[in-house]
Amino acid sequence: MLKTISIYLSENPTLRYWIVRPEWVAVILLIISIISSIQLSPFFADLAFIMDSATPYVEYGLIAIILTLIIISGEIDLSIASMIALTAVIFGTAYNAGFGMPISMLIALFSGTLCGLFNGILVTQLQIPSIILTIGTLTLYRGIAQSLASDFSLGGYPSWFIGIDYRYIGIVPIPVIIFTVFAVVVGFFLSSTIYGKQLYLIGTNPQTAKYSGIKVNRIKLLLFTLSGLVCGIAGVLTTSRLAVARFNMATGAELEIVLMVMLGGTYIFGGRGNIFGTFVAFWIVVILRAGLNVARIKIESQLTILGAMLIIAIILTNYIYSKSQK
Amino acid sequence: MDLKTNNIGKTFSGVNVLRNVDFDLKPGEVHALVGENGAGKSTFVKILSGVYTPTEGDIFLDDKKVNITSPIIAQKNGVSLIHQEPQSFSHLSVAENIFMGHMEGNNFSRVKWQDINKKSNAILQSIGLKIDPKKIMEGLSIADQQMIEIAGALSKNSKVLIMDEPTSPLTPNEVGKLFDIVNKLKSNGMAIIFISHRLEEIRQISDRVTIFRDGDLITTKNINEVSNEEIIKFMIGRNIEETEVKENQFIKNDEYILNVKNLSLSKKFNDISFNLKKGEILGFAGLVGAGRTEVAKSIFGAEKFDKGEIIYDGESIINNSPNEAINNGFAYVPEDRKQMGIFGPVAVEDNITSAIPKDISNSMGLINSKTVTTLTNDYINKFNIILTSGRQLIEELSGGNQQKCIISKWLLSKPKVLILDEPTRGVDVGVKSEMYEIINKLAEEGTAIILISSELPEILSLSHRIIVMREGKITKILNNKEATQEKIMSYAIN
Amino acid sequence: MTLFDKFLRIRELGIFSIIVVFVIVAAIIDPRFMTLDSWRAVFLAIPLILVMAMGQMMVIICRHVDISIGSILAFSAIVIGLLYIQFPGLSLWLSLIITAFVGLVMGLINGFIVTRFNVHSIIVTLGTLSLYRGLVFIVSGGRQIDRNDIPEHVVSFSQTSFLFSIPGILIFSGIIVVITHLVMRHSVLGREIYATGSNPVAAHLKGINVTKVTLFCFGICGMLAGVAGLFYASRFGYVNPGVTGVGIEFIVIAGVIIGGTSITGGSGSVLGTFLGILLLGIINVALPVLNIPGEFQKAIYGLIIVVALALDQLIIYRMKKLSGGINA
Repeated sequence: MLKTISIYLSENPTLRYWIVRPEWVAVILLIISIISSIQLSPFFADLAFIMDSATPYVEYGLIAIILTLIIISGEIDLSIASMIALTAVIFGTAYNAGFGMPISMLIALFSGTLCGLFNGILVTQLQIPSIILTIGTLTLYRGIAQSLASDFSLGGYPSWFIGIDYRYIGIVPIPVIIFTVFAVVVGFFLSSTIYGKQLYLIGTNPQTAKYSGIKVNRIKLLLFTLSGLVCGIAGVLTTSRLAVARFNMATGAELEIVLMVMLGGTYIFGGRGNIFGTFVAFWIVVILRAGLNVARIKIESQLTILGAMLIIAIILTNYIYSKSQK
Repeated sequence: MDLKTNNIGKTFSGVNVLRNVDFDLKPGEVHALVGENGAGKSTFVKILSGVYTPTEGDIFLDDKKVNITSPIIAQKNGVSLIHQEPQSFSHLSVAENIFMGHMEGNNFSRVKWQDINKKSNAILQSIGLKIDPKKIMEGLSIADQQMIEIAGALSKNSKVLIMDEPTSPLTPNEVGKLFDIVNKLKSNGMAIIFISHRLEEIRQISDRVTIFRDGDLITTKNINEVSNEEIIKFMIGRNIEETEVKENQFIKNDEYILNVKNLSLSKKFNDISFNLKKGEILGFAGLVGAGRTEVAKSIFGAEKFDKGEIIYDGESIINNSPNEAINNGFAYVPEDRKQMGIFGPVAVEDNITSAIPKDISNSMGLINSKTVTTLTNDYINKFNIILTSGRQLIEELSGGNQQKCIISKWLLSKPKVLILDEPTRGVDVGVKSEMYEIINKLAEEGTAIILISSELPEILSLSHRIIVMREGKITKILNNKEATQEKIMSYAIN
Repeated sequence: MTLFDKFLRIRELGIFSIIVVFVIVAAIIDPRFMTLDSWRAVFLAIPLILVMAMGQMMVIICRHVDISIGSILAFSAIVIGLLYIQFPGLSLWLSLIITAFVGLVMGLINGFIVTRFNVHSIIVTLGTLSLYRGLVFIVSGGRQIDRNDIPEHVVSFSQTSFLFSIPGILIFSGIIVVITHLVMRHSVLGREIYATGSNPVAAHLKGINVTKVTLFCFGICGMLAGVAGLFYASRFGYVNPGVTGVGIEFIVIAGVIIGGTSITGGSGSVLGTFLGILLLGIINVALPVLNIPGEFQKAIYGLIIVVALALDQLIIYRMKKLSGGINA
């Protein structure tokens, strides 16, 4: 039975292209988690509850979408969580130093961009493997944030700025709208533009990409810079949500962000994956976290489940890709 | 040790690359293996050294049948392979490099430094090499690293030494040193298999020579009983039919599109000068490692060059990257199809259109998938590419069809200068002749073509002129009328 | 080869000179730095990091990185802390064996996933970092092991000993450093670890069991992180599930990398790693003396990692150029 299916699929590349894809695992997982969480608590049948649960994760989701692009092109950025904290702290410092709100925001975004650019330059020019380099800048950026803010909470923002997560359009919180729009735009970019296609080509075979005239290094540099910029945006959003900026915010967030990308079926070695998968994985993480909270499992103990999921997601994705093409 | 093989054969995914090899090697003998690229000699020594297992046939050591299933087992049986690029541990000492993998004692035993240093010293001295065994490997020359690999084989009491083109990375001086060592080993009773493309070296060092061609062992001769011309004849094949040479009429124009002057890159190639007319096919012949691919890469901007000038369409240009080269009208079909030619797990149509991003998208960067499909289907039909649909992954196609896709990809970029590096490697006969038609037609339409190929008949029948390279230099430029396989070979080897 | 290149090769000398310069500068700015108390502080801060660095160094030499060691430390510290609540009389030796075993198992799990599924070790250990940390909370129920839960003989382990009252953990970590040195420098297995990191393909061709070697490194790395858990309980007198060992992996990695261990594998020495950790320890103690706020510490460590990585890459490039550069 299985054999007939696999033979049939191998004779129909288009059909196989649509069926043997790891993001279906994510979709199935999402359905399972929705059903089981509704069993757990009737809250989960309420769309508004799920929407509200999603807001704290939107910042991670935004970055997960950019990280998807980076991993598809064969690199990785682990300094993301530190960049959130650093840009948030810079934002808070700038605002408290008397710069107006718009200028402070610009400074935050600019500093994020700079951090990303720094990562990108070291990766493309010095050829330091990104996975190792960003472990270093992870420490560096978090350290700079700590040097700037010490153990203080930088607050005192105008009330219009605080609590973006409590603004809604209909039942949908504004951050969730931002996330969804961003996912659709980047998803469209990745699937329908020539630049998106080139990311896949770079991740599949950087050598061939270079020989095909694709500007591999420039594109990678751009992606790392973009990652910094989006972390800057996430930093400002987080500050709005929490009303304060601290050096230790988003500690350990790289786990959840990488998990969203991996769970969405993006291939850790590059060349494959898509935004749809990451988008679905975002909701899995949201519902899982909410479900564990409702089940009164301590936030810290949830780490075990997230960590195990990351490892299983990678192994499973690798397995599916190894099956879908010999 | 006596080594004999009986009826050895090897098949890779249905392709028979080695057939019925009966070979024998005596102690105290240097036995040379020669043959064109892909003749089967490398496959054969890989079987002897345990890298491959034979599909059929037996290996006998001192008349005892042995099953060599891995390099380790080969080494335990006294058969060691010296790699062309030395496999060394650059952070460890010379003595450790010699004894790694077979040091005395279990995991937590103390390494007997004095012992291995002393033994290393003795071995190194026995082959006349003055290197301190405590020296760190990093920074030693390739020649020294090679000698140390030989020392490693000696430390394992190897009785059969296989040397795969050991002289190609060496300077003449270093070759002399290596030969001293080989002669010493030989007088101590070592049996040595020696692969080289340089006939003079073979004449100098070996006792017998075995010639391979197209997966067959053609003959084994005493070196004194065979002339260089005869060896070349055996390598090329008995029946050198007169390949049809094309008329040079349609390139009577004097429009030079490319003029390369004194191009040099240190340690790769030196003082390369040639010119190329519109519609001309310029063949590049020579052995692997002669520097042809490196010249092509430098022209294409994938690698730099130190000195020289490239004049293109009357202007001096430098391609700083493949991207610039492509925009200038260059195209390069690389030799290593898997590493540099295709995006394996990607659809055929995305492969074919990967070098023309601007033609398949609008000003916003949106891909017009209709254009992609039309362009792809054009070439699928034109070149008769066999596949189920343009969305099929390119890695699932046969080598020949993959190559057709790559050529389609470059033709879409409408190049003025097309560089083909071994375009028919691993391509079956039928597709080959189709490919020749394509190449000829392109030239007739005015594309200037640089054709790098190791297959002499291919070069002879396609090229208007032939450049022969050896060890980074141009040794001869031949007109197609005067060129023969023997002539090319003699310029490529000597 | 120029003198500069020779200097680049002997990395230990480079890091040693940096230490000397740093100490002299610090002593000139504030002579208080040269007091016995400062140095006692340096040497009390070191053992915990040093022991972990020995394991991490082995992992990095064979081309991997383990970032889960902070969580392993916390887990073993919690386990031993909980045992102390039940059995306050648990001897030091038994505690050592227990923590070492706990760490060993966790390290082997890392190694197994890395070798079996061929995924980059940083991603795998990013997963186990959280997984193990979560286990810490599950096992402890989120409760801190308090000062009065840790028996006196364990606390005194980090304060005094039979030998000139030198703290026991200092002696013990010294022993571990010496053993690591002997294993890495002089044992057959140690040399196989270097060979594996230097050129895995050649190592395989020479008959080295690369999987076994890799598993060994991860196992020992975990084991030493486990032992560090006992050190932690002894020295700080408490174990907090949310604080203990958080972020310590980056300090350890920083120390190993500035100690001259190449992230591309195959090179690195115990002496270099020791000096690297010593430099970090001195910086740690010197900061308040030099009136630099302690908050700057992490940024400095981070900067050191990045600079060391960049320098490493430049040295590799230069060495390739020197040796004629096969396909450079």
